[in-house]
Amino acid sequence: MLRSSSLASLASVATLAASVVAQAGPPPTVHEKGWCWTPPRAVEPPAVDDPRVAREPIDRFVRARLAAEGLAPAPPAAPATWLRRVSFDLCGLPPAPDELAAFAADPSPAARAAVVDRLLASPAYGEHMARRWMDLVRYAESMGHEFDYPILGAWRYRDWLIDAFDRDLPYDRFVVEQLAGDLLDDPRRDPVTGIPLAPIGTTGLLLNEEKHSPIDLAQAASDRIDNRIDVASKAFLGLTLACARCHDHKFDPIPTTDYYAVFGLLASARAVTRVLEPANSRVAHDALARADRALREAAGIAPPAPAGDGTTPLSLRDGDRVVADAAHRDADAWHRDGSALENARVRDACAVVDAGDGTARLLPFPGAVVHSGLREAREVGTLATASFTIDRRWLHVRAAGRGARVNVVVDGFRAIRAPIWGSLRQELASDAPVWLRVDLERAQGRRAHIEFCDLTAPDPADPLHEDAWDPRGWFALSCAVLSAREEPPPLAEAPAEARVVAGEAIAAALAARDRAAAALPLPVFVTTLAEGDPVDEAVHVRGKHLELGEVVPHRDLTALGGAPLDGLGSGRLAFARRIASAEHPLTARVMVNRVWQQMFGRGLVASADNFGELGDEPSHGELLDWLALRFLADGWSVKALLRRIALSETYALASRHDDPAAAATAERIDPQDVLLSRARVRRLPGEAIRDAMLVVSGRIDRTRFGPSVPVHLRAFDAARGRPAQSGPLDGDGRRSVYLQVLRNHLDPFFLAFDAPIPATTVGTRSTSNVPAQALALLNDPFAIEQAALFARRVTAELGTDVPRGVDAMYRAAFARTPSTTELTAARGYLGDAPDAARWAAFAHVLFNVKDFVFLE
Amino acid sequence: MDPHDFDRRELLARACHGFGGLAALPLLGRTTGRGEPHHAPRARAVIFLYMDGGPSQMDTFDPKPRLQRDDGKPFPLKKAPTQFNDDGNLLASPWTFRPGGECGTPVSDLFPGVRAQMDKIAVVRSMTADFSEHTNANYFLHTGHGLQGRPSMGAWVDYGLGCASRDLPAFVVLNGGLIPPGGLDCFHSGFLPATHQASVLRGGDEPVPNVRPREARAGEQKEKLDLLRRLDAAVSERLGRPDAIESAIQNHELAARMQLAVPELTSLSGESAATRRLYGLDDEYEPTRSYGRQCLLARRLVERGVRFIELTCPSVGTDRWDQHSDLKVHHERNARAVDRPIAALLVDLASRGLLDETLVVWAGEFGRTPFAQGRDGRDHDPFGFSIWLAGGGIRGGEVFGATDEFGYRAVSGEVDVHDLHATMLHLLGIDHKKLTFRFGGRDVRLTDVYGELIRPILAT
Repeated sequence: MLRSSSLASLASVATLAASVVAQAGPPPTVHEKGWCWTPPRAVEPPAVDDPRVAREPIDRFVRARLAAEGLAPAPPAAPATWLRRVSFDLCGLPPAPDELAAFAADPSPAARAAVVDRLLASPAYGEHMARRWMDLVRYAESMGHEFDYPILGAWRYRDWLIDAFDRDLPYDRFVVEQLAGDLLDDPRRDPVTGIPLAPIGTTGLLLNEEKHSPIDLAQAASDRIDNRIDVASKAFLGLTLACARCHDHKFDPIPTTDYYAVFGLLASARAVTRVLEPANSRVAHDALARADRALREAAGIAPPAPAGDGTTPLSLRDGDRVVADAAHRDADAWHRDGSALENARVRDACAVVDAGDGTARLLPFPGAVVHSGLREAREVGTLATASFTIDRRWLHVRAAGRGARVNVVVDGFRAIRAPIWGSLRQELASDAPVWLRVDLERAQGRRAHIEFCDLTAPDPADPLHEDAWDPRGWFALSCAVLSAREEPPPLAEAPAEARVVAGEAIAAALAARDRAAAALPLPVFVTTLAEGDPVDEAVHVRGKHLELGEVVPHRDLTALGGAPLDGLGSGRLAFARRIASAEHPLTARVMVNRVWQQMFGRGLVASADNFGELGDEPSHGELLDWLALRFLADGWSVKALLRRIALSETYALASRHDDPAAAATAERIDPQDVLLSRARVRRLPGEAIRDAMLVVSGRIDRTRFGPSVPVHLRAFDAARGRPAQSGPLDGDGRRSVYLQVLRNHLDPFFLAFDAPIPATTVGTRSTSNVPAQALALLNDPFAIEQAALFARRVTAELGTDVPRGVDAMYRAAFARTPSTTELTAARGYLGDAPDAARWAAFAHVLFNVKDFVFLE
Repeated sequence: MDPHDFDRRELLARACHGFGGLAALPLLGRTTGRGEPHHAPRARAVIFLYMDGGPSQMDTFDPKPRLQRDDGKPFPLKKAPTQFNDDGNLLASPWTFRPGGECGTPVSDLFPGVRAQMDKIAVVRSMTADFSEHTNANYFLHTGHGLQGRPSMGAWVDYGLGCASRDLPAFVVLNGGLIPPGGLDCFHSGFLPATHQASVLRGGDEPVPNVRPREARAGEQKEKLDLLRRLDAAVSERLGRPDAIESAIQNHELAARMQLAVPELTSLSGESAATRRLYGLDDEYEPTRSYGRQCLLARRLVERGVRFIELTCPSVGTDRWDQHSDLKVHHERNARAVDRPIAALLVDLASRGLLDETLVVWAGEFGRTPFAQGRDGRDHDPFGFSIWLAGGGIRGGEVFGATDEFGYRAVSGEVDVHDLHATMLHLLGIDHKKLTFRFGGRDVRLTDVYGELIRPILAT
C-alpha cells in the first residue's frame, strides 16, 4: 500500500471537499482515440512499375502516392549533392574533398552503401545524433534563474548520448535507461572505463531549470515535475501530457488523472548525487579493506560490528519524533552509493585516522552509525535517508564528519542557498558526534529527506569543477529527530574520547593503508534519478498544488488500458518498459518519425512532438507504420533505419524537377513538398554551420567526450551568474556539441540560428531568417578568424594560383566546383596576385554565400 | 507547432509591410500572426519603461496616510511568507506626496518630473503578480508565464503586427546597463520563430552584436558584398530561386542596411541642444544622462516605425529598485536616474504629436512590503502594486484600483499582468484572445487563458 504524498496529506479536509465537488461536477469528456492510439498496422508496400525503386519499400510507398496524386519525381540529385546531403544529415559535417573525389569517380549503389556505412561508423555520427537528442531533453549544464547554478555532471549525460548512438544502443533500451536506468540489474558498464552507464541515462530528465530560493517549495516541486512530465511525454511518446495538468486534455483522451498518475511516479523518485565506480575498482577497495584490517589489528581495536536492529538511546520528550535512526534495520533501505558505504552501518565505530606523524588517532563514535570513513576517508559515498513529513519546527541531526556536507532536501529542492533556505545545507566539521540543528519553520507539511555526501562538493549546484574536489571527507550519521524544541533530546551515552596510538607497527600499517587509499580510482559523480519513497499523488484541482482532489495510483495511461504498474518500488521501471515495448502504439512511430524528419527536414508527422489531435495527420500513414514495424524487427536499431532511408531513391532526389511541366505541377499540387516529389532546400543548424567552418579552416579538434569547453562570453552576455572567465572564441576548435550550455549565457550564434532555449522538448526547430544571422556571418570575429585560417590552409597547400585556389575552396565549402560565372566573379575580386588578406576576405565571402548554410 | 506550412498568402500579406517584413519572414515557419490589426489601433508603438527590481508603491504612486501614522507598529494584517523572512514593523514612507497636474494625482517627491505630467498618465494602484521571486516575476511580467521559454510581449507584438521599419527590427530593447534576473530570455521569442526576438541595443560603439563591419579598409566590405551578391545570385539561379534562398539573400541586405541604420539611429548629433537638455543629457548625475539617452533613443525608434521598445534600468552603482535595505538612499538614486528623462519623453512625444499613437508603460515586476525588511528596507510584494500607462488610448489623469490602508494588497479593482498584456494588445489593435501560436498541442496566447481589459483607464 502506497502512502499518500505530503501534498495529499497536507490538507485532507480540502481533499474531501474537492472530491465532493468533483463528484458533483459534470462527467469528464472522453475523447475519441485518434489514429496514434492504435498499434501500427502491417501493410504490404504497393507495387510500382519503375524497377529502380521496386527494391526499397520506402520508395514504393512514396512513388505510389506520387502517382496517385499525378506527380512525377524529380531526377536523382548529382552525386556530389547527395554526398553533401548525407554527410550533413548523418554526421553534421561536410564531406572531405578526397571523399568527394572518390565518390565522384564511383557513384555506384555499392559506393553509396559504403559511404553510408562509413558515416554511420564515424565518431562524428554519435556527436551529431546526440546534439539532436539534446533538443528533446532541453539540455543545459546550468539551472538558469537568478544565478545560473551549474548542474553537476550534466555533460556526462551528453557523453552517454554520444556513446549510446555510437554503439547503436537499441532504442528500447535507450528509452528504459533514460526513464529508469538507475533501477536496472545490468547497469551496462563502459567497456573502457568500467563505469556503469545505465544510471546516467536518467540525468536527461533532471536537466530542468531550477528556481533560486523559491518561497513556495511545493510550487517549485510541482513545476519541476511538470517540466519532467512534459519532456518525457513529448520526447518518447509525442504526447502533450502536460496539457492535462489543470483539466482533462482538451483534445486527446488523457484525463487529468493520467497526469497525476505519472506525477506520482516521478515524485516518488529523487535526484541524487550518484557515485559511479568502475568495476575494476573492486580490487583497490578490497586491498584497502585488508590494509585497514591490518592497521586495526596493530592498533588493537576490533573491526566494526554490524549495527543489527535496535534504537539509539535517546530520552525523547513530548514533541520529539525520530525520523532517521542508524540503529534501526530500516536504515538498511536508505539510498547508499559508493564503496565507502559498504558494510557501513555499524555500532561502536572507531575510525582510525592518520595524524600525519606516524601515529594514528582513534575516533570513536558510540552507538550505531552509518559511517563513510571507516576504512579511509578517501573512499567516497553518498547517503540519503528515507523521506519524512515535516511536522515540527526543528530538525536535530546527530552526526560527525569533516569535509562533508549535509543537505535537507525538501520537496526535491537541492539548489540550496541563502536567503531563506541556507540552513538546509550544513557543513560537518567535527571529529566527535555533534547535534546539527535545522530550522524548518517555513517547510511545515512538506516532505523531506536528508542527504550526506563526503565530498567537498556534494551540492549539485556547486560551482567548483570536480577536479578540484577533495575526496578526503567523511561523515557518520547516528540519528535525526524532528522536534518542537530548539534543543536536541538528551542522549544516554557518555561521549568516548579520541586517543592516539603510536609505534613502528602502527606507522608501517598506516603507510600501507595510505598506499592502498592512494590507488583508489576517483569515481564519477553525476546527478541521476534514484528511487525515493513511493507516493501516490492527488489531483491538483485546476493545477493548483494546494487544492487537492482524488489520489491517483501509479498506472499506465487510460487510453492504453490504464494497467497498474507492478514491480519494484514506484513502478517506474515497469512504466519505462511499457513505453519501450513493441506493443506500444506510439514509441516506435515517434522515433521513426524523428529520424525521418532528420533526413528530410519534415516528419511524416510534421508535428514531431505531438501525435495527438492537435498534431498533424501523417502524410504517409502506411509508410510510417511500415517503418515502425521494420524498426522493431531490426531490434530498434536507429542505424539500420537511417541506413535504409539514406539509401532510398526518395532521399536521393534532386531539389528541382528538370521537366518544367512536372515542376509546375508539383508547385501547384504540392507546393510544400509534403509528398516528396523532390528534395527540400534546408538551412543547416547553427552547430553544423560552426562545425563546417572549423572543418574547412582545418582548426577542428576532433577530441571526443569530457567536460565542456567554457562558453565564450561576449560583451553582451551581461546576465546574472556570468562566469568569471570567458571561454575561447573558437571553442578550442571542438565540435559544437562539446560547448558549454549555460541557461543564462546561451551562445548567441546558435540562438540566432534557431537553437532552442532549453526549456522544454523541441523536436522541430523553427527555421527563421533574422538579421542577426547575416550579421554574425558578416562580422562575427569567429567567422572572420576561421575564414583567414581557411584561406591560409588552402594557399599553403596549393600556392596562390587563383583558379586552383578558388576551385579547392569551392570543393571544401560547397562540395562542388565553381561554375564559369562564379569563377569569373571570383577572379574579378581576387585579381591576379591576391595577398593573404584578399584571400582571407574571399574565404569570408564564401562563408556568407548561401550554399554554405543551405543543404540542397 | 508545425514550422513547415509555409503560407504563401501570409508571405504576400507581410510583404506589403515593406522589405523588412519580407526579409524577416521565417523561411519555413507557419506564421499565424496576422500582420494587420484586429480592430482600429489606438497606438502603433509601445515604450515599456521596465523598473527592474520592484519599486515601492507606498513610496511612489500610492500614498498611505495610515502607514505614515502607524510607523513602527506591528503589521496588523495577514501576511504571506516573504523572500528574506526578515519582516519588521510598519515602515512609513520617507517621502512626501503632492498632487500633480490639473488632475491632482498624488505622487511622491521621488518623481517631481513625472508628477508634472500626471494629466497624461493613468495610474493603476491594484496591479498584482503571481511571484515573489525576481526571475519568475520577470518572466511573468514579460511573457505572462513564470518560467523560462515563453515569448516576450514585444515578440508577440511583432508576431501580431509585423514591423513597419525597413531597416530596423520590430522589437528593440534599449539596455541601460542592467540585464534583469532571468536574463535575455525576458526578451526572447520563446517558441515563436526567432525572427521575433528582441534586438538588444546598448551603449558604446557597437549597440547591436556584430553590427560594426570589421574590415580595415573603407570600401572593403562593399567590395565583398558586391561579390557576395554575384555569387549568391548564381547559387539561387542554379537551385531555381527557391524561397528559402531568396529570403536569406534579402536578409543579408537588411543586415547590410542595419549596419548603416543603427549608427544613424544612435548618433544623437542631429538633436537640438534644447532636446538634449530636456532629456537630461547634461545632468550631473551619470545614470540620468544614461537613461536620458535611452529615452531619447526610444523616441527616435518610434519615429522610425519600431513597434515595441523596452528600456532596462541604468546602473546607479549599487542596486536596481530592489531595496531590501537602505530604502531611502537607493530609491532616491534610482528615481533620480529615471525621473527627468521619463518626464522629458512624455513632453517630447506630446510636442511632436507622437504621444497619441505611442503607449508608454511604467512597471516593475512587483512592489514592496509596507512593513520593513530588517530596519530600513522593504521585501518583495506582488499582492498589490502600482504601475502607470500614458499615451495612445489611455485616459490621462486617471487613478484606478486601490490597495488596503497599508498598501500591501489590492482590495479593489484587482488586476494582474495578464490584464495589462490584454490592455496593451488591445490598444495596439490586437484582440489578445485571437493572437495565438500553436505550440505543444495548444494554441498558446500571451495571456494564456486569462486577461481582461482594464477598461476604466482607456480613453473613450
